[in-house]
Amino acid sequence: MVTRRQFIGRSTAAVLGAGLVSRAGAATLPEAATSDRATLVAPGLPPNGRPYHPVVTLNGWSAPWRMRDGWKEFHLVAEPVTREISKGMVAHLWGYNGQSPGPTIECVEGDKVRIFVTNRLPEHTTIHWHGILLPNGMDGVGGLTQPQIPVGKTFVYEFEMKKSGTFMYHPHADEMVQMAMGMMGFIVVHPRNPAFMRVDRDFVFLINAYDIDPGSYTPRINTMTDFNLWTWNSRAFPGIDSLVVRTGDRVRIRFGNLTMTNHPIHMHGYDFEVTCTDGGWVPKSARWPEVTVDVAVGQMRAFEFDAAHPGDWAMHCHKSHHTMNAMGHAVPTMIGVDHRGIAQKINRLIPEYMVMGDKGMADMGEMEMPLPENTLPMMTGTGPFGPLEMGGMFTVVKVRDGLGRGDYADPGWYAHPEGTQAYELRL
Amino acid sequence: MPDLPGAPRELIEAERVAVEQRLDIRAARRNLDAEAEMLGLTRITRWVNVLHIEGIREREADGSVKRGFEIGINIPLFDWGDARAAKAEAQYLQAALQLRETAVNARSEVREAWHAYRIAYDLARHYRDEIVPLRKRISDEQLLRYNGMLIGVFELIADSRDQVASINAYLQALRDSWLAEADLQQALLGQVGAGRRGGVIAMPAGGAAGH
Ligand SMILES: [Cu+2]
Repeated sequence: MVTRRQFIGRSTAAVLGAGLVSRAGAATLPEAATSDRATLVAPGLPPNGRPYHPVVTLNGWSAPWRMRDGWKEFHLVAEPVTREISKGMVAHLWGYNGQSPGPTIECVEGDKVRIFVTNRLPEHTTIHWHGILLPNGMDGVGGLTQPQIPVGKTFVYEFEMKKSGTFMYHPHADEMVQMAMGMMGFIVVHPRNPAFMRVDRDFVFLINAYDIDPGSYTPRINTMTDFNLWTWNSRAFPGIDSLVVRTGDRVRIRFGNLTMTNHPIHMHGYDFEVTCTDGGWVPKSARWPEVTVDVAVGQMRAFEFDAAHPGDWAMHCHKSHHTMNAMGHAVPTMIGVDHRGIAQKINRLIPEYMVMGDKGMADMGEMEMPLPENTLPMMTGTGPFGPLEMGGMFTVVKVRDGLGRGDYADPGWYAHPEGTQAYELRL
Repeated sequence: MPDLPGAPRELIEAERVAVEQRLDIRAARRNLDAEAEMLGLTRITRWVNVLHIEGIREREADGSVKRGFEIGINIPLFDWGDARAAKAEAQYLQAALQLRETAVNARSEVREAWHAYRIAYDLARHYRDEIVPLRKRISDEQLLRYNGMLIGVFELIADSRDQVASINAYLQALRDSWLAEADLQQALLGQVGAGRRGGVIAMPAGGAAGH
């Protein structure tokens, strides 16, 4: 586990090494912490400013800030980045501070924030603060509320966080392209009263999607619906962090959807209530219990539950194609096709050919066949009882007794108590 | 069928061989010599070149210059003496010009045959060095895509058919290049027993033999 201090120390060197910020600029700009790793950084308590209970960004971290004359100053650098989607595949994306999505911005209701945005992309950009109530001129819509930030320039956004809740940031300049390339980040505004809506574990992630042709690295930016990588924080199963929870914790899971379709997010083992949307906190009287919550395009949802049931509980998008990695949607169904005699004939033409799909596709979860370069298997991952046959928007909520308060390290697989597991009937 | 030679024949070399060994040129030369003997021409005043070809100076990749060379057919001119010899002069010059015509036509045939040969050679080489390896690479990638269930078996088989077709096309082009080679060899010798001058010997590639 990388501690916050080590982490920021490492990032300082990276920023200076980049050498793109002028000396005069460096004197006035806050440090832009950067990381090119998809590693969860366990949260630390805020070093200054109003107190809050920090969130945990899956496969990510929160941006440090500098306090100056009562303003919280952040620095986001828009730039090309390399993101490991899962082991065996990297994507060439655009993001912020070395990764996609950019670092999570955390602040507190009433904070005055000043966000420096430096553009190191090959084209202009802006940042729109999705859901934040702010002066019109800070809304970040290129051409409408400001000129776009030219290449190499830094713009400054200043506003007060008027209410707590769950928000996002993303470009509003060449928006279709820049979001298809991975530009986005999470914003959490904590309540001024730390006891209000208090939880023990507060997880956040952005839902995104890419279309990266097998064998290539850069997303096809013009794809509208037929994406082949369905990701959380630009990670696909088994690359998505588990959500590690201590039995008895009050848990909140927040997510925002910046893809082009809705995602019914389903969690096993619990019913939960949506306590926050993009518009703010949901009054208790307006909540209802659910096990799946749909998040439409451009929306955010946060649900909460009391972690009373230990186990390895699956959490995933319930569109079954969204828990797959790259696959051929036009591949013909082979179930029931009589292959007798055919395979040998094809083998004479293509020696490495193997019959697949004639008994369903579960083969794919077990076999390790050579695939095109930089391509994840359509279904993959291994659990304690065999192949998981999953991909994309799938991860596990791991509820365990007796974890440390700030312990987010993977506890391994759940040990099922005697008599609590499905078993084979032997006659 | 043997594979393509490593390098194609040079045009200038083909022309040199042709001028040396073409039967029609040698016949016309004999005819001229016989004419001079018959007319009793003996006092040579100077020599002229009735066919002048200059080798091209080529610059190699390493910067060095390939030596050029010249090909020519030199014939003697004689002291024609008095007016009585005017007829002899005319007869000799007629034979000389016939030699020149034969040589020019022969050279034209060789150049035509060489160009057909070079196109066939380049085509076969392009199939061998570019198209077939590319098709193989595409097939390898298609198999990887099939493995990942990114394409179906029908696309895999259709691609395999394309790969086979590209190999067939190479073999066809290789055969055509050997036919063009044979035509060029024929042009270097000239027509044998055809009794026709200036005819085109080169066959259209793949024309006669059927597949
Ligand atoms: Cu989905």
